[in-house]
Amino acid sequence: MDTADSIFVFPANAKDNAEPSRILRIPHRGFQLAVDEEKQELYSTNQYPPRVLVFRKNAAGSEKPLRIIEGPHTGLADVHGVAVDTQRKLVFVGNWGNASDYKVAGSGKHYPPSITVYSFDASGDAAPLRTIQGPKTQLNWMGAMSLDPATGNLWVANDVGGSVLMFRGTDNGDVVPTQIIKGNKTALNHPAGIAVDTKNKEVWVLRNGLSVDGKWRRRTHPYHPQRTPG
Amino acid sequence: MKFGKPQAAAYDSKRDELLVPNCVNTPQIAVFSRLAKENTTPVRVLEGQKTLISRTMHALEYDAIHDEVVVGSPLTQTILTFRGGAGGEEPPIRFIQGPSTQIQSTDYDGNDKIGLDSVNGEIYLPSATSGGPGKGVILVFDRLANGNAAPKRILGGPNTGFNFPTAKGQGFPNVAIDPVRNLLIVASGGSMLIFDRTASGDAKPLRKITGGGGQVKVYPPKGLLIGSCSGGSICAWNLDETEDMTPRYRIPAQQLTTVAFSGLAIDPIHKEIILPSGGRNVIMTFSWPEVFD
Repeated sequence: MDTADSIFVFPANAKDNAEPSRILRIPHRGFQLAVDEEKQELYSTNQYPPRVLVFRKNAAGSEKPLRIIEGPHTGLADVHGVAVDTQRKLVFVGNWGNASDYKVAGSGKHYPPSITVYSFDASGDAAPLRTIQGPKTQLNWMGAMSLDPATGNLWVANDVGGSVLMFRGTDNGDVVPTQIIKGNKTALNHPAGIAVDTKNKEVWVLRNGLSVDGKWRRRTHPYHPQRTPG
Repeated sequence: MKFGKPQAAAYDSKRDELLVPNCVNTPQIAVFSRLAKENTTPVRVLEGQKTLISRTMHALEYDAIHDEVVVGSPLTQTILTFRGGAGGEEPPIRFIQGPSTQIQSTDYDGNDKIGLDSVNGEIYLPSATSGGPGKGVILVFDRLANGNAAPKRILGGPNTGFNFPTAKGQGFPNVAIDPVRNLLIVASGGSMLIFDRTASGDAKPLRKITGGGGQVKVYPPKGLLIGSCSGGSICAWNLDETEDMTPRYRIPAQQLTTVAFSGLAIDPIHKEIILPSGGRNVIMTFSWPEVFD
């Protein structure tokens, strides 16, 4: 997340000083991965230049992506989280809104943060089907996202917002999140990673900051004070 | 403590604090007490949508005269200026952005380094151009410029000796200004190119220091040029020596600490230099009184 320019894959039973089973080179500034197990495809976001790269799930080395969502009509801007809904054939992408075309001098702009939604087969300069954007969304430098396949709800680790937000998969425009986890009892501080456990109806959050009492604790811990609906 | 590959630091002399920009995860400007040690909580953090900050901040400057902080927003081809004590999700008090600015990045870097001449009120920004690799320029803006402002001067061309960006889109130089001797120093391609401060167009450097490059700062009261040199060291040269430009002082920082530094700040008040390391997520401070005395 946010650092190296490679994806490392380890076997599920790897331990100790294990070598990765394969390494996939990706462009500089990768952020989050998502997998479509049905089609065996791997989604990888690229903060800048903003794009979503779709690889074969087992791609390795310098293998090229199968397709790329990229271009001025995509609404992509400083791309971070990605989540796929394999049942409804949708791709959700989080954008911080920092934008420019590096090939054009003075083209920089700041847009409000957004979540753009694409169809599964989107490629090239595809416009989003819907865009969640506006002050009611509370989005603020959000990190990873995770989708609950049972409900189609989208869970967002809202990093600088210090919250976890849940949107309906059908949301569009300036919408209030359906569920918000936020406050001094939550221990959330810079929540950056998130995963939905559909079987146990829990949401796991990776915290990237100090605890609310200012003490340094484990960077990753389970968090499950609220249940996912449905 | 919350470092995310810090590649720069600046000393805020008004508050006796260190300003540390996180390049990544989460990009922010974290502010620490100067005497902060291991696992210290920042006294404040500047981050969030309203700040207009983006990742890839590899330099920032504190303006002690006007009590302001100047930093680039690399993904948006923008220069941000904050008030000195800014924190939380505070917006910048000014930002330079738009087609007249001519600010250009690459797909990898660019707009990530910055220099400030607080005496003459000018901001220096190394920028890419449409010419591609090796055709970079230095844009000079008025400190008070705001919005879609054109640069006051542009320095670049084959005579300057600039060779940035690299083919990979990296290698934008650090710059420093000596307002006493009216010099501009550009750390480009393993050398320090020394220009007249107001040089513009395709000007030749007045002279060149080889064996240096990378990080560069100036301490005008003593005419010292402080920068990285061979072997992971920090060296200090005397800018008044125009013939024999060999370093007068050296700290073998990497040999002493095994840590490769990736930024440089100076604190003349306490006679210290500050070396951040993005690779190791640490800030190292060395006492160096012989340089500042």
